[in-house]
This record gives sequence, structure tokens and C-alpha cells, in this order.
Amino acid sequence: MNPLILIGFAAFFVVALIVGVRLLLLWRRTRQLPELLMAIGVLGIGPVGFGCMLTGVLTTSNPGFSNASFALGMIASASGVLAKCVFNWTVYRRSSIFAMTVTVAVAATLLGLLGLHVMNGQWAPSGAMAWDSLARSSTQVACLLWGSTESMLYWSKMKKRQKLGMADAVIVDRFLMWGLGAGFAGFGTGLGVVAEIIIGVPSLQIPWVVSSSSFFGFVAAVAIYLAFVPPARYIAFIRGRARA
Amino acid sequence: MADSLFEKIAEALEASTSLSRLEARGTLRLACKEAGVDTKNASAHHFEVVLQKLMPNELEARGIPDAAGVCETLATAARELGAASESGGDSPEDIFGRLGG
Repeated sequence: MNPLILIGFAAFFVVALIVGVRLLLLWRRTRQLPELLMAIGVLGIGPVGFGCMLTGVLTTSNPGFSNASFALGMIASASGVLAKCVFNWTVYRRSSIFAMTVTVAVAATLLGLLGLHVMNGQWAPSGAMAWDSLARSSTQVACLLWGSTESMLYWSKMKKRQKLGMADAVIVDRFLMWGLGAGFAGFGTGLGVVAEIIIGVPSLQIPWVVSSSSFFGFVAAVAIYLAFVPPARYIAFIRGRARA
Repeated sequence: MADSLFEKIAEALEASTSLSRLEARGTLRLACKEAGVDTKNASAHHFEVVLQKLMPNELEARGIPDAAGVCETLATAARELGAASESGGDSPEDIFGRLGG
């Protein structure tokens, strides 16, 4: 594999770890649910989920360890997806029965899929087009793109408020960056799902999918970092642009 | 909470002008939409700014006399209503404000 491709995956892994831990520490201070949900979402889908599943792929010579890695990865990933779904519902659409129904459906789907693995004890993917793997990935894509859409819609409202002096420029930018981060992460994963369905080969075995996933992962990492751990110079740039 | 705040301001707008119930609510909704403010979770401060900066033009366009005066009175009322019932800090803006640490 081209080493440059690893940069994207590594960036996403490291940034998600930093942001996720930071959000967990924030939750310890505030004890507010959105902080906890975002932390679980970022850590579960990113470093813990993806990291454990990658470990499973790399340790197939030790089937027991590999299976356990996949198990931990899938549980973490499912937790992350559900947390993101609950975040989307409770933050953006609290009074929406439809959003609540979608969240309950996602929970039932993920729990059902996990239950199947618990029953048969097999957590490693069984090959391309494994319906459970595609269902899980599709659910993840849907939740990420839902969150991205909501954040971008709210960003458009916040820009209008900012023009009237009602919104802080850094918070306005946070909606944009999170929208982009979740969007690129969702789109990158979605591309892999579609490629797997069309080509009939596990997505991580398709070179251009791996390259694109790395690219989308890198962009998502940059956006998520700027959203939640913006450097002082970036904040100064945002505020300066707002004053202009 | 903001929905009842919207209702109170709309009722006051209807009482202060020749606008009908539907026109008062529609005009206020339009101004809120232009400001990027959601009437369901807007704070008193949001309504105050909308009333001071956008509503005067909307009311003038509808031929309401002393639009600026009417809006200033409503803005004061919104401020007082808001002081009695502040939001719990759970709007998306409040939440994203916290997420930056």
C-alpha cells in the first residue's frame, strides 16, 4: 500500500482520538448529554471501532484474537452510530416524532445485527456483500449524513444571525466544520458501500476505494479538528474575517 | 417556551397595529426566517434583535405608521418577557458553544 494512503487513515484516527477524549473530559465537567453523545460517537466510530476492526483484519493469523477485535470494534462502532443518531434527534429535532422513530429504528437495527453475531459467535466479516456488514455500514452512512445535513442547515441559519450580531463567529464556523467533517466521513464510507455492492469485492480490497477513503478521512479529520480543537490562529482568522 | 414567546409577541403586534392575526404572525415569521431564527427555540434576545433590525422595514412595507416606534415597544416587551423565562441553554447554538470546550 502506498504510504501516503496511510496518512489519511492515521489523521482520522489521531484526530478522532484527541477530539473524543477532549469531549469526554468536557462531559465530566458539564455532565450534559450532548457532550457525552458526541464523545461516544467520535470515539466509537473512529479510533475504537475502526481501530479494533482494523486490528481484526491484521490479526487473522490468530482467529480468536481477530474475532474478539472484530467484536469490540463492531460494538464500539454500533454504539458510536447510535450515539450520533440520538445526538441528531435530541439536538436538532427534539420535538419530531419522525426523528424519534428513525432513532428507535436505528437502535433496533444495530441491536438486531449485534444480536445475530452474539448468537453465532462469529464477528469477522464473512466476505463481500455480507448483508449484515452492508446493513451496518449503510446505517452508519445514513446517521453521518443526517448529522452533516442538520449541521449545514443550522449553519445557514447561524450565518444570517451572525450578520445581525446575534451569533459568535467561532460557533457559526463550528456548525460548518462539523457538517463538513461528518459529511466527508459519511460520503467516504458510502462510496465504499456502493463500490462493494457494484463490484462484489470487500471495499478494503478495492484500491481506489482505499485511496478515496483515505482522502475523505483526511479531510474529515481536518474539519473535525477545526470544529472542536481550533488552534488560536484559526480562531483569530475566523474572528478577523467576521469583522471585515 | 419560545413558541409561547412568539405567540405573545405576535399578539402584541396584532394589538398594536392594524394587522390581522394571520398577517401579524406571518410578518413576524418572515422576519424571523430572514434572521435565521427558529420561532420554536428562539430566545428573547433573538426576538428583540429581529424586532429592532428587521421588523421596522417589514411593517413600513405594509403601510404601518410609526413602524420603528411600534417595534421598539415590542422589543422592550420581548426583553421583559425573556427576563422572566430564560432558555435552559439547550438550543443547538448553546450546545455547539459548549462543544468547543
